[in-house]
Amino acid sequence: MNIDKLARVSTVISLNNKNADNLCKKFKKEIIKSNLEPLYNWFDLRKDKYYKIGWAYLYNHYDVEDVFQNTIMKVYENINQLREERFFETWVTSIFINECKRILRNRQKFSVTDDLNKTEIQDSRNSYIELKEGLDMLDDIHREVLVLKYMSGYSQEEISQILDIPIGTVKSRIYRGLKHLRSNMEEVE
Amino acid sequence: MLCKDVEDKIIDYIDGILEKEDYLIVKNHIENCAGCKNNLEELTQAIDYIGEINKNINPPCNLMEIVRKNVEIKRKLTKKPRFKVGYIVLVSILTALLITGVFANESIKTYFEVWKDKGLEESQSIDQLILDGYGENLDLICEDKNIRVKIESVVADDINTVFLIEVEDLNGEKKYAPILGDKTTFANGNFNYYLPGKDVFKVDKARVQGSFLIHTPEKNKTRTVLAFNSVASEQEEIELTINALEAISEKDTTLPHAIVGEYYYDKNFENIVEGSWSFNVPIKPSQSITFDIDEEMDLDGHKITFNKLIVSPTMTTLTYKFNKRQNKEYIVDYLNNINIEADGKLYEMKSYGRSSTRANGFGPSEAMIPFDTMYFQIPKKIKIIVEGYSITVKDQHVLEIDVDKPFPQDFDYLGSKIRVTNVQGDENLIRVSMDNLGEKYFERLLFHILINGKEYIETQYAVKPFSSDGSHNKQVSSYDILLNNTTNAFDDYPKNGYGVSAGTVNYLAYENNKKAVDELKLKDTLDDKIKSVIIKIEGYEEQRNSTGSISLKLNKYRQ
Repeated sequence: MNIDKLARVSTVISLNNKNADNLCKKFKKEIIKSNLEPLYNWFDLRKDKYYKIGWAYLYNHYDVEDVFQNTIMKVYENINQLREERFFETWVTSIFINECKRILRNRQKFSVTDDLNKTEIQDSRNSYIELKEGLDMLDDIHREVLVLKYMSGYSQEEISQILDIPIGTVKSRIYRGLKHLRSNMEEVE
Repeated sequence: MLCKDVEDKIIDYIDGILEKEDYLIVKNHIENCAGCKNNLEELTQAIDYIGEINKNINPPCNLMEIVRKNVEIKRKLTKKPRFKVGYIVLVSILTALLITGVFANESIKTYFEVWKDKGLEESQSIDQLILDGYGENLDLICEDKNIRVKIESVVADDINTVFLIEVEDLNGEKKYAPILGDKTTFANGNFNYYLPGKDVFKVDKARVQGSFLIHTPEKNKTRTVLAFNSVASEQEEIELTINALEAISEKDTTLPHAIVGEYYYDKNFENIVEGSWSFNVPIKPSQSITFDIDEEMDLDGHKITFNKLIVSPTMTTLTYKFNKRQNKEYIVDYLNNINIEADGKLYEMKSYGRSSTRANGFGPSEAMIPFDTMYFQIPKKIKIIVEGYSITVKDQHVLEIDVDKPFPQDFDYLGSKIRVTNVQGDENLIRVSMDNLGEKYFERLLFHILINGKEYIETQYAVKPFSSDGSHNKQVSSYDILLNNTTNAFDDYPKNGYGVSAGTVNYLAYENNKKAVDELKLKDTLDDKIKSVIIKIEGYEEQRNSTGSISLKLNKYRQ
């Protein structure tokens, strides 16, 4: 990260309102015609971003796949309820995150061993082992802001909308999260 | 400025979004304050660490294809869009109705008809297994809330415990089915719990591992096949409990909210009936036959170790493991199709490419794959076939573009010449065009583009395939990438006449549509404010189609 070459970028926070508006209208129009193609394409452009978020919660490819599917279904079903269309992306992202959390909640009801830093969990289709290292050792609230910011590239303002928390909280969680992560790094090594 | 104030601003400082004044003040402070300097270092180290992890997490190329398919099928199946359709388990008497697999040829029968037939097959299989002595007719009944639940029969082996359950509404009106959540349908007793490559754990509670709804003509009855973990000893009594039933419609072909473990349980939801239906069931599991294979397959020079083949009356399980990093130059991500050929019959992986994998990829990849049962005709020889695998080669190179020099600018990547033909735009929208002139071509180059030190989001990118004859050669010869500074997609990107598949725009069409480029308000030249353009190539992905196989005489390995 080269701090010297600063991009004095003005925070274009408001997500390019006009575009978001048109985007939403287009989606709605197509969805009424039962055509989800624009929505799939929209997701495909962002699949890296969302995959990383999913992975940071779930560590399992098939569960992340499920989250993609569920999120698309939910967007499809609820798009008419979206009041402020300029917040389309942050709305979708918060749905995505809620779906991740839902799967996570159900898993935690069936934890088998409490072997120190490992939790072994299984659901009917997949097994995986969560190695408690680095990012995963963080508290949920810290990990989620770090993933959104440094892996998916959202701005602090966008994160504050996605998670529905004040921007000051976002900033301090990022700060705390990074500090904790740094100290975890020492432990692992 | 005090250290505390610097702390408040430091995240914005690292991001490069502080106002000029503040930026200079913070910079000055840091240069003269060891504590804050150290703090900054720690923070950037943590950020770099995240960057490292970030590189390892990539979605597979066909993610959206699969997602799209599954969503489309769900939409067809449900009148009102629902969230999840049940996934079925890997038992021969429970066919994997995993949607993409069986119903790819939707042509001949309707989905409903196929489901009805399968259901018939399922219950006949259970009956057959019982006749052959692998299960029992129980007819255990429990009534509550004017609903009668009956356990018709059970088939158990040391991998699964399978029940056939009938639910009858004594009011004669509705169809009720068990809700498959942890708290609503479960069994208490001593059970086994398997993880690939590990010893078996003992647990005292089992939940539904898979389910299948069988069609019944009566409007007040349902029949369901439920599979649980296997019991831990040769003779066990378990307690099966159902706490909640949901009314389903005639048209439902799968159990509602049937994802194992999903906590569906809204007490205010009007279709739910809570009650207590509990049974004590004696279980005598049949023994499965384990073949301790421990043989290596050579897949293109990679070692895949097949550990065990476990054959039980209800299913066949194959476990394997491989080292993701056995080749120093790349990471083996996934094995593609795995099949077993035996006695002229082909056993396919039950679930569409599903197998268990270990997270984080630092250790070996281990998996357990389900197949139809071979118990009743155990072959003397089997052939395990793996059709292809995918890899990620990591080879990082940074291509630093000189913004003061004209284009094209040439770079080298792994012996190939990468020619950056043009970069144009400003800090809001930038277009980078580059060609791979060979000699080597890649299926998908993985790279990030940093503008003024900041990673920009890919809005759209066009790739030109290496061979234009439409052959399945997936290699790419040119990239044309549009990036912008926000996380929002650029809505006006030209789409007319393009083959838009998986987010790429057909290169040839894009190039021809010069007018569309103007509409994007893309600057023709490279704006002065852009001081640095860096293409950071991380590596590339590749699908390999090589097949590997291994023939085994099973008797040798029988336990």
